[in-house]
Amino acid sequence: MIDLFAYLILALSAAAVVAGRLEGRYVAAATSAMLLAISAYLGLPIGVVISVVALSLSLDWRMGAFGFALAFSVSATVLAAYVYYAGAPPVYGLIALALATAAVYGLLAMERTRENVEGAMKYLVFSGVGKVLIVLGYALAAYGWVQGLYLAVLGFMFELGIAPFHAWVVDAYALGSPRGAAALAAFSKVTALFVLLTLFSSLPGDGAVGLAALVVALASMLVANVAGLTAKTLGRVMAWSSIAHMSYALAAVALVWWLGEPEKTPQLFGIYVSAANLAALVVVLEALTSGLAKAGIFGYLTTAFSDLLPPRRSALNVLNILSLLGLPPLLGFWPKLFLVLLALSYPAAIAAFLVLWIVVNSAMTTPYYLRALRMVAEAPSPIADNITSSYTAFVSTAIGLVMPLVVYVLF
Amino acid sequence: MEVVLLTIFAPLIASLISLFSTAEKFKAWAVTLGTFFSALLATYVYTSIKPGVYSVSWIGSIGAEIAVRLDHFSLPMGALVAWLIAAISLYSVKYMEGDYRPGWYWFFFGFFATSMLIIVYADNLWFLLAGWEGVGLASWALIGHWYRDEYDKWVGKEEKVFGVPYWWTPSKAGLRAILTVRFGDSFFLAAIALFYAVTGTVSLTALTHAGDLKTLGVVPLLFFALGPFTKSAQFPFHEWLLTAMTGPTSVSALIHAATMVKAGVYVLIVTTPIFLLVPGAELYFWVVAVVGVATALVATIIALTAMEFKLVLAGSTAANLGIIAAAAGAAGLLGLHEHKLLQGLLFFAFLHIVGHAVSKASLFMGFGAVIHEAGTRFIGEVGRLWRHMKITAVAMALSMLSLVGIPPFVGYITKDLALENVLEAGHVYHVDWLAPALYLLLFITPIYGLRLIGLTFVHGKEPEEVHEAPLLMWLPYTALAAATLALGAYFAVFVKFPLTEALIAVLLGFLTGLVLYIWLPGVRSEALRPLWEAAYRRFYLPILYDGVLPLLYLWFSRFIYVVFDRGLFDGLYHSVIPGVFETLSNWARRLITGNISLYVQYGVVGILITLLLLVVL
Repeated sequence: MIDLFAYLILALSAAAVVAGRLEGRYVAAATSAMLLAISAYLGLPIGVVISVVALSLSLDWRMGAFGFALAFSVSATVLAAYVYYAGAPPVYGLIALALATAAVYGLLAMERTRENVEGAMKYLVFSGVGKVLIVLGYALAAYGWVQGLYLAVLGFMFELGIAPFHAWVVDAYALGSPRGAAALAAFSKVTALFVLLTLFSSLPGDGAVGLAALVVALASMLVANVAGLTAKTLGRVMAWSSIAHMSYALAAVALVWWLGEPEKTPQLFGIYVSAANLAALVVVLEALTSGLAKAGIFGYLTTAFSDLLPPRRSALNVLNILSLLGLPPLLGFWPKLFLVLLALSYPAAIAAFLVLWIVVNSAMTTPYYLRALRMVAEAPSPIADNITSSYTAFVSTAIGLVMPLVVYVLF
Repeated sequence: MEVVLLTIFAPLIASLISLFSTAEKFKAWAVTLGTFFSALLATYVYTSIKPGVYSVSWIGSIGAEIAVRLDHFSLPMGALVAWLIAAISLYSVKYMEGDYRPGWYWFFFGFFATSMLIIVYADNLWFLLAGWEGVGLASWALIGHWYRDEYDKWVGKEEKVFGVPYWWTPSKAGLRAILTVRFGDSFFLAAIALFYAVTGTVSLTALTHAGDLKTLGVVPLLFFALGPFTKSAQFPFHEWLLTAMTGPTSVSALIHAATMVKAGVYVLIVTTPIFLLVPGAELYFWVVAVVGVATALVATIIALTAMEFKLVLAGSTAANLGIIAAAAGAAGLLGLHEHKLLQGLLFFAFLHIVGHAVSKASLFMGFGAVIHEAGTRFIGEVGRLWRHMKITAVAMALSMLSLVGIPPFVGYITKDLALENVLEAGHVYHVDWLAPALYLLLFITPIYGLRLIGLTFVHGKEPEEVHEAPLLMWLPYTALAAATLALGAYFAVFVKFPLTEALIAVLLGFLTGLVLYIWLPGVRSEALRPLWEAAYRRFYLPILYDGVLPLLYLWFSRFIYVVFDRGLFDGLYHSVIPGVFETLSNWARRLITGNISLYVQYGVVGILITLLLLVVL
């Protein structure tokens, strides 16, 4: 079914010649609708959820030529998700990653201010480095070189913005256009995580690489959460939040790479789930939590960039921020819980340390999320909620509420 | 069992019913009928129900049971308490008429009555504790009933001694009462828990035969005694009782006559046979006896110099409580030598609860009527009331004669029997100072009684517009005054009519009082003035309770505030931890300078770190 995506991307490329004459939001909306249909047809719920994010953004905002960029980025994300779930060759995932990077770069710079371009450029440079390392690492690993896995993991650290490779993330979120930041969170990062999962499931793990990645991920979540405590603008708070969420996701994968399947199979709501599947679920849910909430938050801003206090109030984004905080039963609560359950399935000493670390880190985020909450809830009237913020808040709440059912259906 | 429980809970049920109407009369009569019903049932229990222990389970894990004990102490005490409560309730119907807080008063009146009856009938110490705490709570509510703190409800005048306010408003007095009794209660509770831990039971009946008590030691007994000591206003915890006069007079009568304060000494009496089994009990009984004698002396002197009607009566109450406690302690001491005498000696101590209760209830209600009619609480501001309140004057004279121990009134018989215990213990244990101390006590007692009667009814400034109290008010106290004589005759015939040298001290005191306050009023001695001043200031103990202790507590709380609240907790949670995180956060945030070449360097450092990790790990 890869050809469906290929035709869609080819069609978009062909239509790009009229980009200067056509309001791109219609292209983006049409593409999102098609991806929605394809995802439904392929039985890909993640694709449905992601497609509607792009549809919402295109309904909310005039995009100009950048509507094509939005269409490409959402196509890349749905493709990456499909590659992972369908077990398609990982090379399609790498293509999706490249496609998403180029498209999101454009979106980050779409307001054409100096700040936008600076944020977009930093994203492009570091994301580019990351992709090179991922492709190179994948190629080497596929030939059985263990160093390849290291290079690929290093690449994902650049791509996801894991500390100390994170500096670009702050500038990209704070200085890029809000629509670009929304796309970065909802499409680029999600794409990268699905590619990570694809490689995770297709490449043999390595304990040493897994442990090194775990240490870096744990340190990264601490750095992000500590730095976020004094972040003063909405864009920067969200940047640190993003680094932390990506660190949680990488930690789940790294833990399984390091220790493999535990003797005690983890249980979710009484159902036995392998550690690898549980780690993958953590990654997907972290991707969705961060992507949806940030798409909602950036998607309602009317400004050229987001290194500022929001000029208009939002009620529904309160739910998105609470989801990022991990308040039950919102979506953001579950990946943290599942990560804790994953850690608990390993030997007691390791489990105790990891659980303590994760819980302390989660608790530490409360001040900065509450600050972000006040920023959006106490901003000047009127309320400026739109389709994107409404949709993301609704989906974050709804998925969170039915999570036990999701687990039951999945496993 | 059901009848006894109904006896106990009838006043509370009536109180709850009283909440369903806003009409003052309905509340008053509902509770009064409840108390009379309870009194009738108590009489039935006294006359018709077979003595024994009746129980139903409550909280098994701590040995708590709803258990009642019907014996030669609880049966008469129950009837006495229930009838006095009923009489005071009837008196209150008129006395509290038009009060601004009838709902509060009548609810806590019934609550108090039930709590007191629990103490009287309880066999299980946890059940007793429930009543004990209920009485404490209700006393706070009733002493502080007049929460608007008007001047005429105070104890004392607006003056300071050594910088400490020497007046007590109802709110403050209520707080003083509950703080004092709660202090003792905490030790009392700990002692009960220890009893249970050591013996596995807190049933008074079972404890009487509990061999495990031999392993207990005397400290838990002293802890236990702090409960009765504070509740019964024993020295140095008597202060709350004196300032409790801020409550309505009916409340004073309730607390001082046969309830609350009597609960303490009653518990001392009924637990004496149990504590005989504990090694070192002699020390405990000496503490009880000596504290009792000290209380009696101090409180008698306070009563002699007090300038408020109710304060004289309050001092007298504390004095008589001291006598009862001393008699109970002495009974224990003598019981250690002659165990078979114990029950008889304890019964003598118990009898004085009855003797004192009847006269004191009458006196409080009578002087309440005086305050009500004359509009003042101070001795000397109104006098010659004999001409205006003849019934009250006669009733008060009779009751006072009983209180100060003039034969053949009941007070004489019961007090003399109680003091015989103490004198005998002093004789057996060769404690020579006891007898002179008690004779001094007996000498002073009639003087303060005649002082109060003389300066109120015989001499002083005659008011213009004072009338006899209404029938509903004078009927209860006059009936009780008559009862002092009738009971005296009854006890003289059926118990004992003592004739000892103590009577000489009483008669000498009576003669002195007669001369000083009836025949030749106005005699003053400047030489005795410093002594009078010290006694009038209640030996300056209020300075300890209202000045020193609050100041120490304030300093202590400030110390806690500065060291722990602001220093440790505020400092740690609001300064140190946030400060550390803020510094770290700013440092981590400031790494993001916007300079892309620096970002590349971070990347290079990151690569080196990951390589290092690969090598090291």
